Amino acid sequence: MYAQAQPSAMPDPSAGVHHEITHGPSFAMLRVDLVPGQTVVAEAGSMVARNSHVDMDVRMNAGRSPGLWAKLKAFLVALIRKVIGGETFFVNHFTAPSPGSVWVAPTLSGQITHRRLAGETLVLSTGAYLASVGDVDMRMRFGGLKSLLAKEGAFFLELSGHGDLWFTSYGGIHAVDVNGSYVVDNGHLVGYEGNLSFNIRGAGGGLMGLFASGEGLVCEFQGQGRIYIQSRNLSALAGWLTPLMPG
Amino acid sequence: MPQIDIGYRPAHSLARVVLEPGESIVAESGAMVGMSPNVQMQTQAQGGLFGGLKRMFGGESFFRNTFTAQGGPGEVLLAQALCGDMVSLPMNPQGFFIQSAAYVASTPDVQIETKAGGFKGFFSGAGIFILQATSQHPGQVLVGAFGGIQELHCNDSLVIDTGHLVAWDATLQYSIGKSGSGWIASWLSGEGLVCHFRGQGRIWIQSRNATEYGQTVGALLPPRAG
Amino acid sequence: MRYELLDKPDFSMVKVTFDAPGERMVLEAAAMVARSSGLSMETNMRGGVLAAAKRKLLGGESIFQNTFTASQPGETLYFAPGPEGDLEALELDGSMPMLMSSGAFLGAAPTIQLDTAWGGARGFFSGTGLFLLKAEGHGPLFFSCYGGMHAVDVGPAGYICDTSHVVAFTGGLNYNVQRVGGLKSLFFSGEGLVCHFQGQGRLWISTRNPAALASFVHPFRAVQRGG
Repeated sequence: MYAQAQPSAMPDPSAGVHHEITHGPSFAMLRVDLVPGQTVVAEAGSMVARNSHVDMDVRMNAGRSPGLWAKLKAFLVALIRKVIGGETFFVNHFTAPSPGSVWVAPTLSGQITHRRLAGETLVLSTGAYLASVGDVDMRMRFGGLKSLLAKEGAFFLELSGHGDLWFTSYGGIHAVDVNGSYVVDNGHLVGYEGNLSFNIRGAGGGLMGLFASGEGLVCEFQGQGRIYIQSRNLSALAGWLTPLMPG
Repeated sequence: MPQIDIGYRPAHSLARVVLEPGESIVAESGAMVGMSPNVQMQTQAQGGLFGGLKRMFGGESFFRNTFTAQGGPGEVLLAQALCGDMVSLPMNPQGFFIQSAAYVASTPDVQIETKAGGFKGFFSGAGIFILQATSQHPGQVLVGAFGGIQELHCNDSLVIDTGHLVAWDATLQYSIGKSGSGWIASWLSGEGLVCHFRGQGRIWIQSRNATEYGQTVGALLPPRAG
Repeated sequence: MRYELLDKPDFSMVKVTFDAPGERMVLEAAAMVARSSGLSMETNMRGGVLAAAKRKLLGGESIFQNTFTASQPGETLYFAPGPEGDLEALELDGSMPMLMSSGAFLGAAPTIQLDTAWGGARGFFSGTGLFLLKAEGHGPLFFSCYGGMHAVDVGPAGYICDTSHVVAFTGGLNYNVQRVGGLKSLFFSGEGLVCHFQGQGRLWISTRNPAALASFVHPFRAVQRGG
């Protein structure tokens, strides 16, 4: 039986954040125990529960110290995404005047992975970002015009800095070490690190494959590094559901 | 009382209800997965046929089926529509409030009433109703979640996103409102309605939000006829 | 060719490692997760054009399959079904066909033949775009479901199961689709059609109902403009 979190001491805000991931690997949920001075940045819409005294503030996800241009760009992108569907770009900032907890969870089933960033860079597909605490910088990278037309995988988030990061996978998460080249279905990509370059293209299969393979877009990675794949894909779910739909 | 075993937890929970001859279990329509051939099924509408039809026009079907084992012991397999965990709550004199989509089944002695004043998801299509479960006798209520089930203890107050509610002790006071920011910010931020709880009691939450999931998947499907 | 089942039981995925060039795996459309660059992909219609024409096509129903061929030993292929849930790998030895929902087929060795199977007068999955598929031949067969996979060993007493929960069953079983509980139940019970299985064999049922998921998502679809 789980009882409400009551942190007994006041830990140093610059140390690692106290948190717990429960209900993994299928329906992982993250609880962060806040102390005054800490801010949890979390993807918009992800809040499950919070203590009444925890404050919530909506911001545009334009990086930590964005200039006006970056802010405008972020707003425009967010509006486009909100209208045509796909990941939105607003985040919530949670702070607390006294110790308190906030629970967050992603929309799709799967895992939450915790990562302490110590200066390295991790690139995530935007749907994978869940929350972060600390000196974590987020920069949006554009995946190319082709991917903008697909409903997913258009934007990537480049995360760097020092702090705690939590990201999600739709399904289970697996690391594949690339040495040379490797192909990943766009909807199954969580993120990557290392000196990898990638190219988004059609899946192949000739002319018939272009229209009928059902495979959509793929990312072809070149170089050396680690890619993270997830074992489920939203487009594949939609495709599987379509013949079952009434009307 | 029927024996209820829940397997395939936490994601694909399946309740296996073992009935003695003559014993019954009442389940939400559509919850039956399989059953032994000697189990009889009877349909009843909550509040009579009129009440049941009223529910249907309100967008919510609340027909229930009573499964009874005849001439020998029987087995009924029950599951909710979405992936997630299930838990069987033993009845107490105060009873529970249950989010309507979370109700799966109950023993025949438990009264399930629709509470007036449900709430709609923020800008969403589906209406959610609140059910009240009470019983003068020992009984069980089987609830199924979308996601994992977490039991929280409210000691004073707690704020929960309405899409994540499964059930709560009737001893708690609750009120539903906006998430806290302005309306525009609420729309842009994706935070919908929240429920403010006060008092002492248990709240069962689910680690996923069905409305958000529906919107995410629905956006990728071909449009439907109006 | 070797295979490994990962992320069971909730997000089951298959990882195939090819041992020799020329080895092939046939996958349902949209099942590929990731693969070595050296694998070639070819798209064709299931059973050829004429057999494909036999199918009932319903808005987006995929009749296409992708065949992946290895060019070098050690190449890998990951594949997974659309819905969350479990999957089962069976080695068919040619003695008994397997029947399954068309939505359950995930992949197979090219030495396995697929065809439509008789679903009974009422149709096995009436009201949906699904149909009954028969698989026979030699080699590995992969099928999946929405939810957990629950195996039932059917004996002389038989077993009754909601048709939307039927994933697959061995070819030796007799099956009979019926309405349950009379006319009132068809409209109000939500249970619809059930299948009465009899004989000796194994039945796989899903602990979740794909039609229920479809009904759940349906109101969230965009509404068609005009018309």
